[in-house]
Amino acid sequence: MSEDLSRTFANAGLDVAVEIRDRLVLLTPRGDVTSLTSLQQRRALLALAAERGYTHVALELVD
Amino acid sequence: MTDAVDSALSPALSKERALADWLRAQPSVLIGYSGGVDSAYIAALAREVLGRDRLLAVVGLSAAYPQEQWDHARLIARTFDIPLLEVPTNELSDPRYAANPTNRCYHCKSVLWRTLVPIAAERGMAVIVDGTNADDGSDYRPGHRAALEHGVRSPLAELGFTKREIRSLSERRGIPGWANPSSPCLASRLPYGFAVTFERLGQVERAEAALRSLGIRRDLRVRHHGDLARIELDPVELETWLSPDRARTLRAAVAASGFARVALDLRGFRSGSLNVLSGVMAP
Repeated sequence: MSEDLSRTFANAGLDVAVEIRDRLVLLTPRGDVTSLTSLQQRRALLALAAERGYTHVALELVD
Repeated sequence: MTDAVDSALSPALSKERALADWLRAQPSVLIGYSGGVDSAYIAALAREVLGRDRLLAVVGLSAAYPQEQWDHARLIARTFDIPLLEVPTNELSDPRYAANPTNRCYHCKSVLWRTLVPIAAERGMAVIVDGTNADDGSDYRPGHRAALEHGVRSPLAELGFTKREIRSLSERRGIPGWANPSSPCLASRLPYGFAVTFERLGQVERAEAALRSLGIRRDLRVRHHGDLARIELDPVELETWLSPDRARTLRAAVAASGFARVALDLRGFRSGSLNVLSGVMAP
């Protein structure tokens, strides 16, 4: 499921590793994720996750 | 100007008069007091209506609230000359609470009211009230059942006070903190089933204080997922803190409280967020 979501997000232009924790989707950046500063992009991502039954999406903050 | 403001506040002022009448009709009142916006408002009004002798505000000192909450409660009591009693509640020693079930709030409030009911009896206080308001019915609040079981009255809810009205009336009375964001207990940052411990509560308290020290003034929560801290910021603030430099600052501030991993929720602050995550509330 996490690989499926990872591919879905990649198609939406986001290079992230996906970890599922119950209904939380945790995204760890593998590349540039500055597109997430866009409200539109975040809404699209949240909608993709919600379609699959996830209630929360969080972006891991890495150095 | 004052007339115009009072006109806009007219429905709320009518409720305030009704509340004053309700309080005046009680022989004496013990308030379950936290220093939050709601209980501070009713305590200040009760002090005005009842005087010192027919009123007692009691703080149940719980480990699940940050120290600054109690400092604020004391400040308001001093400012309005409200008689104040502080008692420890030790709810963490109740395994039914510490296990963090979905009705954790019920066990917490049961401990609180089991502590306060005998105090009311000893001191001859006729009625016990809390600060529940009319908006509180919209969230999942098993703690209210404990209040009902102990005969606690909720006049703000009974008379239909909304949170917005309470804030406006508190501002009018000059009650400090009238605009403060709601601050439910720190245990609400732990998912149900994830045990409540002093250590975890301390982590959340330190992490949220660290975020406040960065200048974040709107609603925020640090949700504790074990190794992971998930930060919820007001959506208005979210965009700012997603920029790489700011995100590194956020991470450092929260990681210092003992979290191996730190994440920023992409929807932002939601009241009852963990109720949604655990399926207790609909998204």
